[in-house]
Amino acid sequence: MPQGKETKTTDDVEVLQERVVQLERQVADLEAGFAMQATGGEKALLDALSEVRGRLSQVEKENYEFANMYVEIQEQNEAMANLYVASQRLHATFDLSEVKQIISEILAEMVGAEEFGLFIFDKSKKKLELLSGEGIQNRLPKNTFPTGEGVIGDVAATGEAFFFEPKSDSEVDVNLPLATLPMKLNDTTVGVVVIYKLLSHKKAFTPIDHQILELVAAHAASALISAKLHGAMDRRLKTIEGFMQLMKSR
Amino acid sequence: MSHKNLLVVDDSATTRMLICLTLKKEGVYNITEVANGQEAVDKLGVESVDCVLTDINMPQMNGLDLISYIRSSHSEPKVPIIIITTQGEEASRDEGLSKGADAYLTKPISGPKLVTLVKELLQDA
Repeated sequence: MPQGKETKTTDDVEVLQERVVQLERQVADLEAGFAMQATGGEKALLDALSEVRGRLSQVEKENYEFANMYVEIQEQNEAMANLYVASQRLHATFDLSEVKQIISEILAEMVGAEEFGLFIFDKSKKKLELLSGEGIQNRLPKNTFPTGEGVIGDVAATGEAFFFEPKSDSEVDVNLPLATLPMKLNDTTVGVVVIYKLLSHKKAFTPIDHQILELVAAHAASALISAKLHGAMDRRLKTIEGFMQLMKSR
Repeated sequence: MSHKNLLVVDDSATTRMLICLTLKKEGVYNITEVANGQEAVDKLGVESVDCVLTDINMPQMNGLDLISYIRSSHSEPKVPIIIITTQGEEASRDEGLSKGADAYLTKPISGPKLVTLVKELLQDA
């Protein structure tokens, strides 16, 4: 709408609002005057009217409360659905590549992350090694990150999550991750989940995102370690089976 | 009320699960899920579908090609198509809608928004 027309409409609305206030005052004055002159039957009607108005206002208030409750329940339902799907998917497989894929899907499609990485702590090298990720090749050419350095290193060392949520564009620091979460197993940090950038149409994390990220931080470690152990066990089993067959053939 | 048949097309099993869970709660939809456009084409050949919900980026056949296929081969009745994608750019939206999609939603999915949209499109269809 052109700016001139917009201003005219705003002025018209203000004039109408003033008129409504004036009319409400006039009605109240008329009612007060009528009440002064009212006889017995008319007074009873006025009392009934006043009671009905009181009830109406109560019903309106309750409706408003119910509407708020409905929205709250809807949000809780949505959060529960998201958390159910995320946890169900994280523990749906023992295949390491599938677990990595599922974590990526949760971060990209449920949280709306565009650039993110999943790092596993390598104790012997004292480094965080990139296990999987999207869009962060330019940020980490070597796919590793020394522990104890920067935000990611701090999170790996302390086990405390870090969120950087800029309130305006001027606060944005492209080098600082928006979220860095420790992946823990029995209170031991085994890796970190790092989100550098959200999808272009997503401006900030929502309360549901925080819940999903907390769940990923808590469950991704056990899912990854279980898959790694299962893979190792599978390889050993195949070796033993091969050895047994060799023995039988002799 | 008779159950409507929905076809969910997405290569992410996580997203398919979330969409199915969100819509199944309504209790009025039979939902079939497939992982790409080609599988969707195969399903459309043998099953009656009332609404298609599709991602764009998928292996084998992407969502835009799937929409073109549906619009060129299934003229009447017009099946409502909803794009559900991570691509939030205006150009992607315009392209999707110009191919024949009826609505365009961006991921992460808002459950209430998705339910309302599916209901609206199925009422209009």
